Amino acid sequence: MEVIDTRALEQLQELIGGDRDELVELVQTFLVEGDDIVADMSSALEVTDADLLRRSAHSLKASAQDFGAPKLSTLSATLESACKSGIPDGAVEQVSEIANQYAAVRDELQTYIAS
Amino acid sequence: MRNKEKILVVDDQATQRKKMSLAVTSLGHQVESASDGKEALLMLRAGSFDLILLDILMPDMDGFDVMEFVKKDPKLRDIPIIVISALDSEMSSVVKAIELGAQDFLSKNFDPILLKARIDSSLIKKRARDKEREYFNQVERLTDAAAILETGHINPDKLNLQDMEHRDDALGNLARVFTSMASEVYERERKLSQQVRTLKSIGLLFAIGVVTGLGVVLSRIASIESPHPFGNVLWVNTVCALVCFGSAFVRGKMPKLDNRLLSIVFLWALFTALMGEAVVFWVAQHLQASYIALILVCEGFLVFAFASIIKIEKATLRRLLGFVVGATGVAMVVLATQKTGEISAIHWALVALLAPLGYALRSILITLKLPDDIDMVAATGWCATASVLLMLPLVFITNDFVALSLNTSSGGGMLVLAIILYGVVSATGVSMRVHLIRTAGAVFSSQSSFVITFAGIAWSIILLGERLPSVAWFALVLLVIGLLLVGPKDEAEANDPVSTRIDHEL
Repeated sequence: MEVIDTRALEQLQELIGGDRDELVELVQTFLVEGDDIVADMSSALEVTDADLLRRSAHSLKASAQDFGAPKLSTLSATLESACKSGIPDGAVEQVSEIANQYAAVRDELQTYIAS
Repeated sequence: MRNKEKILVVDDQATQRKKMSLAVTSLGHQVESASDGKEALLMLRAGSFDLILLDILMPDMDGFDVMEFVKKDPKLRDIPIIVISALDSEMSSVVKAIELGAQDFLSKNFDPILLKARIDSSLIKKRARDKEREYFNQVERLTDAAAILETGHINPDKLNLQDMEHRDDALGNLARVFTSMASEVYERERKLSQQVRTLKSIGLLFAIGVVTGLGVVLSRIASIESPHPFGNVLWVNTVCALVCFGSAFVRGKMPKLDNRLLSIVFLWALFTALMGEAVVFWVAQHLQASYIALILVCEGFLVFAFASIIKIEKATLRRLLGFVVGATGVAMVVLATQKTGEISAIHWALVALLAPLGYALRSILITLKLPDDIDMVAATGWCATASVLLMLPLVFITNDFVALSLNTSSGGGMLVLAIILYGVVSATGVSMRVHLIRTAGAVFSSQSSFVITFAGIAWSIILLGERLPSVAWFALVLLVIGLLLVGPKDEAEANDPVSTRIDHEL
């Protein structure tokens, strides 16, 4: 599965009115927020806060889909549904995988907006 | 073109909030955004929004809490809400939101066509609801207006239907009918009320004339018994003050004498006692009574001039004509009943003008400065007291002090009786005058100088058995025509009991 689907970004640009600069700004907003969300996931594991972990996964799921990152969205959705009754087994691995995938998405999005 | 609709986007996630705001703006709407439930409620209460796009999953105050507050608030509950959800994990939440009153829902990864369709559909319903509410509100206002009309007469401006008269539907017709009905009734009532006030004021004016004219006769009796005009006036004012204070005290209407009231009564006393009465007594030694009477008639014209200049009353040609007609009547009767000769000293006539000037200034002072809540009799009492204080030095300078005695053999009893009666008459006349100035205005009440002159002659005729010359009847008719032409000040609205009551009820 490819890291990002640029057709999704084109659709997103169309959705927000077609302005490339605004898309770039929106991507930058996502990258700032995405960094926080991934950091929140690690914190949630440290303090065993299942609710924070679930909400973080929920947030990343929706945005990842908007920015054409289906794998990141799927990983987040899996973690979100696994968190309904506390921190699941293997959460550390899941968060780690999400962080790695997010890092890849981040790189590609930065390349995309720089192009 | 319709104004842009204002939409509030509520989402705790900056990326989603920004995406939604940009998408909604690109559809041509005005957008504001809130990052949590509390901020959203504050913005909703501070501004006017047509639609809320609300995320459900938010920390602290979530979308359900926001909906609960919005639906409880009568000012906000009609704003449609579209909830934003991730459909795969939040279907049950969407169902709950719709049960709580959400208009619609939208997936976080929405399609732009779907976004437009859902927003448009919600806004169309909102517009229809707004129109329906406005319609019901106007029906309610018409019902209120009908209830007001049912009470009788009312100022059409107070029906509050001005904006509805422009509607081109049945409600607009009804509003126009109500307003035109109210205008007709109101105008009729206003004219009737003005006529009643005119008649009442004329009645009061004649009563003042009769009472004060009697004072003229009593002053003559007093001056025959004791040729000390200033001394007599001092005693008359003392009796007047005692009578007024007694009356005010019994009725529990004694006002506190503060600095403001003190300065008003001293000015009032200065205008009436020193400029008015004292000057009349002074010039009486040099001018014939008929000329003094004619000069005193100038009061009406002076008040008319002052009131026109400072714009406290309507100055119309009709009112001025009324004064001319009235003054002509008075001049006819004075010239017909009293001996006249040449004015030997014209400068005394000019000095005599101080008296009507003082009386005119008194009327303007009462109109502008005397607080409405001060009892008219108590106010008269304070003025008489101030007059006594102002006259005292004059009495001692002119060595005019009168020692009252009840010794009947020396005629003292008659003097005491005349002074007491004069004091009572003065208290009654001045109190009625204050009342007339307050209700009919300074201009109308200034015609009391005409009536007093007339009544003074009439009392002399009754008491001294003189014949009334036939011209006097014609003069009396002129006087009444003059009174009708001048008319009391026009303030039907302020004195309209029905509209005052309704204002209070509303």
